[in-house]
Amino acid sequence: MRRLALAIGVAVGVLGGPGAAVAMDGPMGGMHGSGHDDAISIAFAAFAPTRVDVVAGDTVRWTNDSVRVHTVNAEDGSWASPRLPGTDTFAHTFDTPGSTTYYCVLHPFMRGEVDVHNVLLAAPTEPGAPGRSYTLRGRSALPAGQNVTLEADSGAGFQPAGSATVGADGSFATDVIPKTTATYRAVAGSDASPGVQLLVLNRKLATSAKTRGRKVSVAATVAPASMGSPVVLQLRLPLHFGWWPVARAKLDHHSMARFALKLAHRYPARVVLTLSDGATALATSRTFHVGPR
Amino acid sequence: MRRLATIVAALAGMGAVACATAPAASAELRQFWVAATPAPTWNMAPNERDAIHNMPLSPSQTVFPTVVYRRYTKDWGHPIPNQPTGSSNQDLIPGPLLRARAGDRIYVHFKNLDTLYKRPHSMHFHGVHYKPSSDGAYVPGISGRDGNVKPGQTWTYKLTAGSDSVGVWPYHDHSPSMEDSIAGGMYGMLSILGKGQPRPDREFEVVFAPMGDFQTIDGRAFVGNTPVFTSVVGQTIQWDVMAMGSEHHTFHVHGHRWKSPFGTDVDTQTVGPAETFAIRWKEEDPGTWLYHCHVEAHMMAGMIGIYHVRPK
Repeated sequence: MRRLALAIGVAVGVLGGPGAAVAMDGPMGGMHGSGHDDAISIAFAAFAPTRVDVVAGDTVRWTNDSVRVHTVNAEDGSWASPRLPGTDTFAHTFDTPGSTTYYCVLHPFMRGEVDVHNVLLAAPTEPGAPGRSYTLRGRSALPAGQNVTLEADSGAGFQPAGSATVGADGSFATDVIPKTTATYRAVAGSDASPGVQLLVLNRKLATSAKTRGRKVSVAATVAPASMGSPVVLQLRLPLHFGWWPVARAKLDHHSMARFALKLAHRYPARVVLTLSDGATALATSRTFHVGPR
Repeated sequence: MRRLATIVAALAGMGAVACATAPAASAELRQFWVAATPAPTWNMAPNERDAIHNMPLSPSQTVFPTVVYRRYTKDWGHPIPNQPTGSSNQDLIPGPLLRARAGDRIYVHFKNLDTLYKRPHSMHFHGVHYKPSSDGAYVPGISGRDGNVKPGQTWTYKLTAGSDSVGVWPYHDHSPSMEDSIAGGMYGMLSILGKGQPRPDREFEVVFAPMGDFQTIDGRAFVGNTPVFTSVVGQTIQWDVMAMGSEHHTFHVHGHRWKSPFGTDVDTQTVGPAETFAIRWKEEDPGTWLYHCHVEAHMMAGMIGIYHVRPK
């Protein structure tokens, strides 16, 4: 099966968030697959990124973003691009697992590498939290229905940490509950993905709240500092059958966020630090009460 | 207790669309500014559970990036709520409720701000009158920019609400991205009153549509996540019901009845893809009620919500 490659090193930086790290993710399956880009940029004197991990069957596309003419040539001579003036592109499909190095014949010091795998795990882009669920995603060239085992190594060797099933679009995902920072890999039979690291931080939320009439103000601080991370103010509302998000903010450069709202009644409240999906909880404050008595 | 109810609109499929009588010259011009905008972390179940079955849900199952219709102030100055006050407790799906009255001209100024997928989008309206340049449907080699508004581009759809447009009608993306867009929630409703017809105190939009592994109402699944509609005894309430996707649904409200298009008393009414109906009643029954699709598999997969009526 041909598909556009996920050059993971590039994609995670562009899309952000564990929910977006692998292109064919989420409940919509492969529907939004065009959201990822396999592009490798050819700069004035380098390929960027110089090394990418792709899944067998992926197509990698190089674009000359410089003012010089370049080429893309396999070191073993198995494939080669024509001369590529500025803005021209070249694509090659990698069907066989293994490592391929390539270079520019006009500037032989320019070198790159494409590593082709049967199973690939996307590198987490945000820290997790101890004891909190974290979704790891990947892609595979293996048939749909194939089982994939997630393994974690926190210093004592790889141990099973979860399992997933390859979907029709080749993607898989599973939730793991990390205790500490570890390296994860996906294993299917004799195939194993390169390891990726999930950083685990134990962050704490402190809150203070004031109610004056119907006006409510809540301040939340996260330690260690997590500037830019999202926090959500939730109220426990009977008609919403649980905790319900009523306001969102991002931590400022003091790792603090403030919420202001008006309430007609008094409710239990809490603040939750989340991943960039705004939903996956990393730390939860104590429960407090806001609103008029 | 039986009560009189009004069927405001018949099924949308019964409405003529493109060639009917011209409106009165005194028609009001209603203008709306709408954009296709990213909703990068749309969550189908913010309370993270199927409360009725006490089953937890994970954000990895329920959060996904999508593109939605969003209402703006004039010239896309800044975004404003899609729903009028009291119509819903959520926003973005469905798109703006576009209200007008028979005889009105309606200009919908559309801008494609899809920076997420950078896809073309459009708006295609049912139930109203327009020229082909406002059809909003992509036909290769035939249609114009109206059906293929590229990122950063704009188009103004010029519509007219005729006397045969009274009721509620769908609109949706009909560009080359139509399939993905509708699966991600790019749809909404026109609500057109007859001349002299009073507006209801509360207007509730219910859009049945599949989304990922769930069956959703307004892009949300399971009680508490789907809209919690509220009213007060004595208010006139109107339900605008629509289906998108490829399945039929049966709209059911507990503890209430209304007149079917055939004049019979019903408490469950079928709606198919791109069909719509509106029902009205004067609320008399305080309490917390369920509304849902009565196709069992759909209800179990999330098509169920709460309707709360407060005493006067």
